[in-house]
Amino acid sequence: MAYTETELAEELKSQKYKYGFTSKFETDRVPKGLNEDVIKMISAKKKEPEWLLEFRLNSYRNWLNMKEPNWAHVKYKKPDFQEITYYAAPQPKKQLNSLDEVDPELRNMYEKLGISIAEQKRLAGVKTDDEDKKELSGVAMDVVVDSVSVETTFKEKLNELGVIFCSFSEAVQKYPDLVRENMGKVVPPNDNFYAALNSAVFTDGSFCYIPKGVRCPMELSTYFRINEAGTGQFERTLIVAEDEAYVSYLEGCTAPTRDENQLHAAVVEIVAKNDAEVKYSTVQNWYPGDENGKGGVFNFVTKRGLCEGTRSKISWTQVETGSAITWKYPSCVLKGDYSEGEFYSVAVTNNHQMADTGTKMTHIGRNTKSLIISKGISAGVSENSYRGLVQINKQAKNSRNFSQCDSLLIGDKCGAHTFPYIETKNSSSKVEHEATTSKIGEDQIFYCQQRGMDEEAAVSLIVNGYAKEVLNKLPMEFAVEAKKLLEVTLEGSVG
Amino acid sequence: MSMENTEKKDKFLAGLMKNPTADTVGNQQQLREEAYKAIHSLNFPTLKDERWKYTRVAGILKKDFEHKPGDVPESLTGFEIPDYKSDVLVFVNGIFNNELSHVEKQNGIHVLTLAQGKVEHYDVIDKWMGTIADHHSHIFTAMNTAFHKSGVLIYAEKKAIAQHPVHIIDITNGEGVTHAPRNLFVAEDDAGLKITHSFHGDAGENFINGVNEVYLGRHAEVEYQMIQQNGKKSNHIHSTDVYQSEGSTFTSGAFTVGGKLIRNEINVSVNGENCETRLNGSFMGGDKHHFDNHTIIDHLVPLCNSHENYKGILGGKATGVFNGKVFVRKDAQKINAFQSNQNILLSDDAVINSKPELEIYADDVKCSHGSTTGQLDEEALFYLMSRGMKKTDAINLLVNAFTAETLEYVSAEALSNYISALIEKRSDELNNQYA
Repeated sequence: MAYTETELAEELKSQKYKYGFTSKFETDRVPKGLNEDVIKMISAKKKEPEWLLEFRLNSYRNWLNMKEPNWAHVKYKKPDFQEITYYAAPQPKKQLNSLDEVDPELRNMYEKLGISIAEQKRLAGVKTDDEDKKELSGVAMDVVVDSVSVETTFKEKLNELGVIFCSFSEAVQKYPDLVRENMGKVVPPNDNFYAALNSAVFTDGSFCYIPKGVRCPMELSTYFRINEAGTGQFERTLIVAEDEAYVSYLEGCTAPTRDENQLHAAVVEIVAKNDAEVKYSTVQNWYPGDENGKGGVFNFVTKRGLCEGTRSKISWTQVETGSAITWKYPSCVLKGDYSEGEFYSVAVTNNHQMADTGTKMTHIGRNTKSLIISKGISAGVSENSYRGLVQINKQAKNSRNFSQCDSLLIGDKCGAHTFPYIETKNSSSKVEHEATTSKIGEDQIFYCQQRGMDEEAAVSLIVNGYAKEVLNKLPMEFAVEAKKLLEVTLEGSVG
Repeated sequence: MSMENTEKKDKFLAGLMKNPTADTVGNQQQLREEAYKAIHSLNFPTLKDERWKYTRVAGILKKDFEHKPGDVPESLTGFEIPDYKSDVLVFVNGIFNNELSHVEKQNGIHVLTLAQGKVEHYDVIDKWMGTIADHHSHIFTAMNTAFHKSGVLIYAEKKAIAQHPVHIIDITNGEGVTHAPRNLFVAEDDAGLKITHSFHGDAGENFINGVNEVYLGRHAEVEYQMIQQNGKKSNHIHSTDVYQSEGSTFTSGAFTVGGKLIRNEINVSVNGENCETRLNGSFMGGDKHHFDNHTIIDHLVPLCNSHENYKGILGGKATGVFNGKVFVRKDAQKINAFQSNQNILLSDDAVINSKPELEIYADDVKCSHGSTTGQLDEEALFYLMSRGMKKTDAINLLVNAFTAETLEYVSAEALSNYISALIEKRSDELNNQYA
């Protein structure tokens, strides 16, 4: 028996956010509010060099003169930047000998997140036995709770290859030259309102450096979580791939259920040199607010990759299911000749969520290629927009772009929008863009039902098929989770 | 707005306001005053305005333009469309010329100049004028509403179907000329109208600021074809604002082969079920031309279809802009909206900015858009040349084939042939200049 549409809508509404728990760590916070003293305090707590403090203060001064952008197709109450706590770190821990010694709160959190015991041991900093080390195909993981990186796994293994994968603060201490050279290179501190804010107050994040000719043997992964009430999360990720290097990087995010909106304004920068390839995958599952649109995370993120070298390639894959407001455009600057940019996205909005997401492909080098596949799914009373820019500059001869932006509407109270900007400035390039908007066909559902599936399974199958082109691009571990997330978010909604 | 800009605006407006026209019948003067007030609260758009992101109008404001009479041609040779039987209304620099015009009387169809219309059919004008075009928030429409001196009223009574089309010929000549044609086309329930509007001009710099308001009653049909053969220094901003009632069909074409800065806006508000809306256009620019087509189709109610097809061919240092927006409002179910914009760049200095947008608030819809930018197919070109065609002829043939789709809804064969020939001529010119 299939549900009636009302029953399904009911069930969908009451889908509880399953990552909504708060861990009661002891935390170390700075007073809330934003001014130069707070920035100096953050910088001092992290024992940062003078140049980084300068970078922060300059960004802050720039930010003061900037206006919050309002062109995105989203509506929200602007955050009060004086009400936010800009630094909240869980207390530093000592080296532990067994899992029993791990802070039960932390362990509990890992369990709720579904992290394996072996992984838990690594994350909690427990000395691992040889067996664990043999798992070569494992994922090296960096966990960032609120603002501070808790632990990074598989360090030794990566060290052998010369791969640096550590928290941003550690990188500032250990590899200041590398950080200084590349930070702000792709996303300048005055790039936009939220990038400037991040540049002023960012607290931690991940740093990843792949030396020349190294193919990173495992997926590198960062897991972000906002825990403390009233904190903003401002992480900063920097990935540098030297000539002929390869890395696949994963990012996952969750936040506890809270009534007030929490702000997340991250900056991710990627630099790919000659023949380097960087794959960046995100499964974003921040708390989306309840069915009345109360609470939820504001996700205002600046992500940009620079294909600096010849034949370099940067590929963004994102599955966006969470956040009350998403405002995110992972972009590629294709500077090197023959460089390549890719963007694969599935964005799902339900209830009162609003997402304005897409990409920017800036073609500068000759024979550059870009591909955009965007799949939007809106349900409930949500708004889902694709906004993208494809810019083929005059010197980018023989460039090629293909974009496909599809939207799927589930229910008659949501909105799906497409705002592509296509600028072509030479005669040897080819640019194609297509977009469609529709609901799930009744004939498709009927066909599945004829074969003995119930309506819900049919919708799930069709949505999965619709998003498959993107899900296929995710590393396997993530693809399974993303598929589950899609099912959970949309379970029971029939078009 | 800075002090300097305000001064510039006032100076520019002063030119347009010389020898103002006033209306005495109905509420027309009140409308002018309302628009005049709006002008003062509005600013000229800059690239920071989303709607004008790719089109800079600052160049127009730098020049002084005035309403002034121009040279009246001796005959209509070169302006008329061969074998196209129609009523003809001729305007030179916005001034109606009775000698060159001719209108054949038809039952239920009224073809008049706006000045005549304001006296003879002031009730029709009072009812519709200023209600479809937005003079409150668009400065160019407000300027037209406040300062227009002439135009055309075409009014079809209920069930009146025009037996032949009306051809409006707008000729502009001389240096520093401006005029603001204001046209109102009303087709009552079950009525039918066909209108062709052509623009011609000499090499003088001018500024034409036109507004058309089109009302379609229930099951009415209106076809409006615009052909722009403006002079090479012509600035032409034209807004066509359309209101469609239930079961009506509106077809428009915009064919641009001349002008320096052209901005065509078509805003269609589809407010009745079972409507058809078809917007087509081709624009062919060379030199430093800037041709901009902005369309909005606003589906307010269910069960309607819209098709949109624009093609751009650009050589030299020309810039083309296409911005097509389709709204499907809440509960406007069962809408099929298709939009396509294809462009060919002939030179490396030409630029095309395409922005096809969809804003959809109903779920049971089929909406799509496509946009491509590329070159003429090398293989097709080679094929034709290997059959003994000259390269230029082969290019012309391919260009004609490329734009042919946009002529699909031009109902009169003579008109379609005429536009086709213009496109071929333009293609030849672009070819010779840049190939």
